[in-house]
Amino acid sequence: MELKFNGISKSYGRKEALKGVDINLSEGVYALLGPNGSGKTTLMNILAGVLRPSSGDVTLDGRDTVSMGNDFRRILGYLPQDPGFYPGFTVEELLKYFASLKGIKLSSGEVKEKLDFVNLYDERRTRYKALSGGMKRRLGIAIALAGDPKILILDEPTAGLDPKERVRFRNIISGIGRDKIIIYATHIVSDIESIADRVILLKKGEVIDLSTTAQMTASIEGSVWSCVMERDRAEEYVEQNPGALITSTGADTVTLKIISGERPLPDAVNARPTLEDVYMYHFLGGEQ
Amino acid sequence: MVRYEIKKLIPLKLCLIILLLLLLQSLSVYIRPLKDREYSETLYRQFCEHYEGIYDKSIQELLLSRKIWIDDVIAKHDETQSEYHLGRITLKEFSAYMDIYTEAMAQSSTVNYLLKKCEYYDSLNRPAEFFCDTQWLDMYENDGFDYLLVFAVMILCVPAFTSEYAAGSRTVLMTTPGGREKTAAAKLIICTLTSFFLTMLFRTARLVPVMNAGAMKYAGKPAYDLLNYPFGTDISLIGAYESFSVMKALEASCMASFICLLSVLVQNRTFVYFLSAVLLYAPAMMMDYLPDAAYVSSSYAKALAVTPYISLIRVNISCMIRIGVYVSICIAVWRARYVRREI
Repeated sequence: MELKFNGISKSYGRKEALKGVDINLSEGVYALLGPNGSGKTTLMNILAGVLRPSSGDVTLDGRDTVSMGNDFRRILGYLPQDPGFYPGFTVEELLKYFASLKGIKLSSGEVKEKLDFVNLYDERRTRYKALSGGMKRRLGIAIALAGDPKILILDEPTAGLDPKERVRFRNIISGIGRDKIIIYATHIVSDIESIADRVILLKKGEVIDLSTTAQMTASIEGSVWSCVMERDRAEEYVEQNPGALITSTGADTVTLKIISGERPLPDAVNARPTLEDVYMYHFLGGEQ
Repeated sequence: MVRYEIKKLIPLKLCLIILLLLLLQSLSVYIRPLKDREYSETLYRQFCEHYEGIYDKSIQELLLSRKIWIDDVIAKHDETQSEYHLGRITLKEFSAYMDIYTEAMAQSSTVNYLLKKCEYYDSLNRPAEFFCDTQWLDMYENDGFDYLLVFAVMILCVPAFTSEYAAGSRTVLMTTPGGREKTAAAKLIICTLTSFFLTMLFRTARLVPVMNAGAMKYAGKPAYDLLNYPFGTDISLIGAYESFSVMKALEASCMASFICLLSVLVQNRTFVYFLSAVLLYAPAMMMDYLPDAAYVSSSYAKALAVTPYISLIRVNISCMIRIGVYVSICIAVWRARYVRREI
């Protein structure tokens, strides 16, 4: 299965949300990483067929997804950032309703199976408005997975969740079969490291990198420095240097992480880069 | 899927509100300001019950002789009063005359109205029935713009699509095979059919005062027996009411589809309520100046209800065409690939 974005661009008036996105995806988990306003949701909406691109198209195995129509929608599962499910419906009703929209009639056994997968079977008779944030997201995943889609799109699935729920979510994604293309947009780096096969870096509407986390961290090898400094001096340094970040604090001193092509300070030492450093490098002025 | 759409569109709270509106509809006749009639309702009912049955000339002759008597008594008033002042008649005689005079005055307007009715029956050149038609007349004369029903249709239909936009669930629906045309069609069918049946319920509620007054026994009488409502056909009173009710129900369905179209175009619930109110209530209030707009307006024109000169067939065809147009555009806009910019 090959999903291709061919020169996707999207403009809203004068603002260009996406600029010529060209990427090829096959089975696996892809994390779409970028800050707010980088075009993640726009790209996902275009893939989902909800938004029309200004130019370009998306193809699946050579076929345009728009002209595929319902054939494409049958293999698509989508969880937007704020799905807005109906507050008066119970968990079971929502699952059955959206399954029916996909042309699937779920039996009681299938409902149990799907809700068990996201640990919501005990809440099946609870109304949506009474669910916690984490439960709502898990229900969203169950709904997106109804019909066993081949392409799964998750937009900021862990935004607003506590660490326990985020871990639970990662476990769920890990448990989904690897015969799918899973794309999830996030700006939370820790979500990516444990589950994503590849990372797509999106900055101001352009894809600046698509590779594994290992490749990405290797690409900035030698550009990540660590340094211990007095607190006051450190705060002043961080204000003046966008590629610097305080990573730990002590009684009088702090540890700084600095993204720089050259040794920034005499006592700075090379540090092993992480995905967070990659984010800093590309999005927080580290490139400069 | 239809079951879930019904649950979305018609929650319990809405059912309670509509029940309340139905109750208000039934009571609205009783709280309406008293109509200033040209006759005494009590006397009119007494006369009608006395002369109830097939109209013939003898009734008119009886009424004419009564009118002659009334005119004579009234004509003698000034003279009698003078004679009393001059002492030519006693107080007892004068008092007796005044009792007769009061009775004549009380009956005068009613007898005049009844004679007008007899003249109307004479002009029909067909058998007519004499009966107490006050309740039916009231109902037809007040059968104009139905503010409560229009409000009920608005609160039913505005959330149908606007709630999906407001909650953001439209996005998810667009990604499913059934979330596009099928969902829109289900919503439109539910809105139009519910509005149709809601109208029939409201129309039934308007019959409650008629039933309470015991006037339903006249329901089978020809509608042309009502003074000033020459339908020109042999349709019965209830038949005419049913015909107009079906027409109004079709108009309500048309209104429902119009509101749904507004919803997908505008998307903001508050603004759709406002626009619906303006576009539905305003034309009805201008019907006196633009009577032909009744064929193109999605509102309940006052003219539609009571005049027999409106072509029911034309109105119904107009409704069907308008519903078709609104539904087609609504579905096309709903499934269009765009999202409000939220950047």
